[in-house]
Amino acid sequence: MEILEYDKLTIYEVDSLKKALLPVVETLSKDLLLDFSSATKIDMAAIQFLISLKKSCIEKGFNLVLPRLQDSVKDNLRLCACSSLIGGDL
Amino acid sequence: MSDDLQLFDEDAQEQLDFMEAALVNMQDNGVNDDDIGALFRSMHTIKGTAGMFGFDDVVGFAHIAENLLSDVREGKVVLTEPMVEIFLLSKDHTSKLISLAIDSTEMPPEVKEANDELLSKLSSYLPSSLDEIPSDETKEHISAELDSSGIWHLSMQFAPDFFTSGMDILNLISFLEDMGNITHRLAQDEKVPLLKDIEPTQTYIGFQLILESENTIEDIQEVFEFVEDDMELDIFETNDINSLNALVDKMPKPSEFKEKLISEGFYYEEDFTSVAEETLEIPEELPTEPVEEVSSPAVEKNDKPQAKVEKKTAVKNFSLRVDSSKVDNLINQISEMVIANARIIQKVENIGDTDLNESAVVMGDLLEEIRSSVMNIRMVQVGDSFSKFRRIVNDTAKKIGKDIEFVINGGDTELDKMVIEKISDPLMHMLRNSVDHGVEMPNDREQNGKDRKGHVSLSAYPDAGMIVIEIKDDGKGLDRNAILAKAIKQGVVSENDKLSDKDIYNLVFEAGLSTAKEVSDISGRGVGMDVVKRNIKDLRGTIDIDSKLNEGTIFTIKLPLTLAIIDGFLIQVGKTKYIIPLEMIQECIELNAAYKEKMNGNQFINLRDNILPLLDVRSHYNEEESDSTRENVVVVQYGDYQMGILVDELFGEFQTVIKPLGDIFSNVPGISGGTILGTGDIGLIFDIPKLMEHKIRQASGL
Repeated sequence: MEILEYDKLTIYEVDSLKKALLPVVETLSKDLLLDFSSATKIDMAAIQFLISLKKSCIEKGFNLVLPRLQDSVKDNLRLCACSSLIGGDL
Repeated sequence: MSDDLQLFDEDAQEQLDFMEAALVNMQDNGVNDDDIGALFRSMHTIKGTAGMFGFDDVVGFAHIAENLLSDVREGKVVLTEPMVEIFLLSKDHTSKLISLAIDSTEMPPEVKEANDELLSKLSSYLPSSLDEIPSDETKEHISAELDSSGIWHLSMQFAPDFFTSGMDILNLISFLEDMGNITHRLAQDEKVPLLKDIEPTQTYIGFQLILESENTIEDIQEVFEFVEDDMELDIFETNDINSLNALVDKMPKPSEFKEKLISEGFYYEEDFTSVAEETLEIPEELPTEPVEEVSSPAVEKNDKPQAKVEKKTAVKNFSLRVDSSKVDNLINQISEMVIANARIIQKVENIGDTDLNESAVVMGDLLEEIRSSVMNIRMVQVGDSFSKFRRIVNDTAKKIGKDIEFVINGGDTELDKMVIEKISDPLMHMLRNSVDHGVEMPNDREQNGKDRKGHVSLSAYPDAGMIVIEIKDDGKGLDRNAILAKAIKQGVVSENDKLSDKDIYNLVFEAGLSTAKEVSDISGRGVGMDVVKRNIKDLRGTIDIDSKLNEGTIFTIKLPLTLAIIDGFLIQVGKTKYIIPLEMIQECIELNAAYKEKMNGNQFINLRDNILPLLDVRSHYNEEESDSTRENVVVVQYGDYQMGILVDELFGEFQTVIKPLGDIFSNVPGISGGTILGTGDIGLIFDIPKLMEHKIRQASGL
């Protein structure tokens, strides 16, 4: 299993995230749980990416779960009204 | 301090300077929209950047000040003189808050007190403290409110490459949140594709917001100032049904979008049509038309674009912040190159290869161009730093009840930034002196037949390779006798000394000499003028005073353009090479043997019927005899004085980098520095004013 660690989720990370997650989502057989609990920063590019990821999971009939997000990240999701779009443990 | 904080600090200081300039200008020239705008923008910028660092005290204070300024800008509040004063204090206070925040220090009690006092003063001018009341009604449906002015609908659609603009949409929303209350927000995610199709760095998302804010549409637009080219922004008031319908029509799926707005609580269904009840003004030319016509799409399309952000055509001048040590390094390296090239040119001349010589000369020219460009980086207009003196003059004058008109001339004169920084304190001190001691009280002026209003001017202009800065007042002038009496009492001079008026005036630069009858907290303690002179001397400059009783005083400061390089003239006496600053040289004369015979050992020559004192460098510095068969006189001029310097050889112009001689030689009279010549030899740079001083003393037998 590949473990990717991110201390921030920004436009600089989205390409590598896509590369890492695309094969996972294509072969998804259960809910996708991603641990971003160590990320302290998130920007709009990353939020948009998570929306896309969520949509893709739903399309496969599963859910995306993001447990233990940091408060700073949650605050930013609320700021742009995206909490409900991404879901997870918010 | 971290780099980010450093940048923040610099930027904030710049904004504070802008604010001060705007405020002081309004004090002088009356309230005007440009300055109010500048003031608002600066406060806004400080608030925004302080917010990024989480400096809550700064943001809190700036927020109130900004609100008031915003009302002033909209004409809701009239900016009065007392308010300008308060804003000046607020500017100082903001500066204090910023330094506290940077040091991560809590507000000490006295600052807190000042903070509260200023806040209450600022708030007292606000038409109502509406913006501070957290409104519970915001949870209610907004269209339920009768008067929805100040409730804005913002639609943000972004260009695909928006993310590369460097501005995070989250920041935009957060700025908007600072401006008021975002009551409704909708992220439009329909265009965000599935993972397999997404180009993660492209922007697909869009936003709809309802913002309750006292700010004007221009204020809100300003948030988007730097990104407006990369996005489509619509801002309109929520009761502007035409704009709302136009927005809906513009969306790829209008009906779905409309449903979404309704389901998210942005509007009620009837808000899209009920023109008659809500809009008080029905266009007069359509009085008989059915109501539906007015809200039909065709009409809306024509009405709508007014809310659209207009593209600003003004070209923005941008400047680059570079650590000054980098520029210093560059100057140093270029200077070394100039030296190295001088050496090459010398060698090439010896070889006698024309092609090589030409290349070397071209290289020399290019180096010269680069050098002057690099030196130019350091050059800044004096105006920016001069304008802060306005406030000092105004404040000082006000404090002591004088009416003074302060004029700045030649603000576009350029000077080395380092020189400007170092000259700033002396200038401030001298201006205070002029206001405090120079200009008389209005009644006294009237009695002396002068305008009640005093005049103080600060001028800068280039003159013969130097920059001249003049401080002039039309006050009572220096009291020659009082200065002399005081100087004798203090033992600075003796009663028997014969002193010219100029000598006496220059005594004010001696330590401990103040003739002010009363010592005020502004000036008059006699510390200062000696420091002023020392500072100017450190910059290789000079200061002179001229004064007429009851007419005024002029301080004239002469400063070199730059501290690093001079154009010199290379000469030789005995075995040593010397450099004379080129701008001081008037002419060179050959002193033939026959004439020398006639001089009979006199220390002067007849130059076109004028007596020209001669300085014999050989005897002055104990140089050896030279093999040179002829002698030359270099005529130098400094101020009103001329002097001949007796030398052996003339080599011609020479551009040179001044190298300090080190502590041991720092007090050698008449030598200001050294340089390395192309041959690797050392050349000594003459300090002409010092040599003249010496010569004059010698001639007058002092």
